[in-house]
Amino acid sequence: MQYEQLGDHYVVRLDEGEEVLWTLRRFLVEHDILAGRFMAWGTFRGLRLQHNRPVAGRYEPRVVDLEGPLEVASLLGNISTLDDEPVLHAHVTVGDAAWRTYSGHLASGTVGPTLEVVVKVLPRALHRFWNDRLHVAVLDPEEAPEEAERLEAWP
Amino acid sequence: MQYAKYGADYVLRLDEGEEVVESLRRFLVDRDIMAGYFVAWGAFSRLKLAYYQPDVGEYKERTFNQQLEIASLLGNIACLNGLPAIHAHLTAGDDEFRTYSGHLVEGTVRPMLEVFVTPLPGELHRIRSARTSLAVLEPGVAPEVLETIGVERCTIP
Repeated sequence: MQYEQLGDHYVVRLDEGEEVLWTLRRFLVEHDILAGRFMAWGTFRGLRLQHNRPVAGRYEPRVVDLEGPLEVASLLGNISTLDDEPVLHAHVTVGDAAWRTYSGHLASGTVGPTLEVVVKVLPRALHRFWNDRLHVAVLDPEEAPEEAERLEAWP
Repeated sequence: MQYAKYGADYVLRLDEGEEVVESLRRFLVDRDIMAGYFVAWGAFSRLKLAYYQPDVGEYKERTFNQQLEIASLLGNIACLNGLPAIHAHLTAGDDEFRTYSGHLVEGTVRPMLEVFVTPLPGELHRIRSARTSLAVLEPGVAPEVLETIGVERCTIP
């Protein structure tokens, strides 16, 4: 992995064999990034996609393993924290050699030969909380304390 | 093509018949944008996609001579051989809602393409790898190292 900071963005290159979520998560921890969004370009050697099926009011994950090489057509993700640890939520569409596409929640992916990632950092922590009923870590955007006060004072 | 600046971003409109890669490159040179990324919406009358085969070290290409709607088009901008270069991937849908995905080689706009470009401050370079023939993105390489290995730098305004 190799990276550079450009203003409030980081540009990161992942290399052959690196697991995308694990590698990015380690990068976020090292740089104390607690909120943001990212997009990526590149190729996966192997990819695990997840589809969440609603079953009796909660969501049950079903996974599929795809063998590459798979060209990333779109990889969009967000960054937040769960129990004070950064977590990634990313959805991906990939294309195969026959130009067919597969889409879903990114469960894991092995890079090969490269994945280029542009991360935009947001200025304060964004939290998730585990919801046991839905079986989902729910995003919980909240106003900054000073902003909340300002909105409170709004006539 | 028509464009304007909105805050730090640029909003562009490409018109019927324009070639997307060429038009964007011309815009980037005009505005001295050497690093950044973009998102686009619109449709193509002709599209050439590529798929990288890591084991062969070559791209395989396919040209679609039909009207295709862009489902997603994301690109990044870095400097290659002293000029801004775009790297974009996309998914496009046909009139039966089937989709095709890959690396963007060429696209002829019809009737329009809307592009939002976010420039990034600083330098971002690509260096052609002799082994894989890929123009590899090299974030975080110091300017003096780039000069030592003979990389032509983009001029930053």
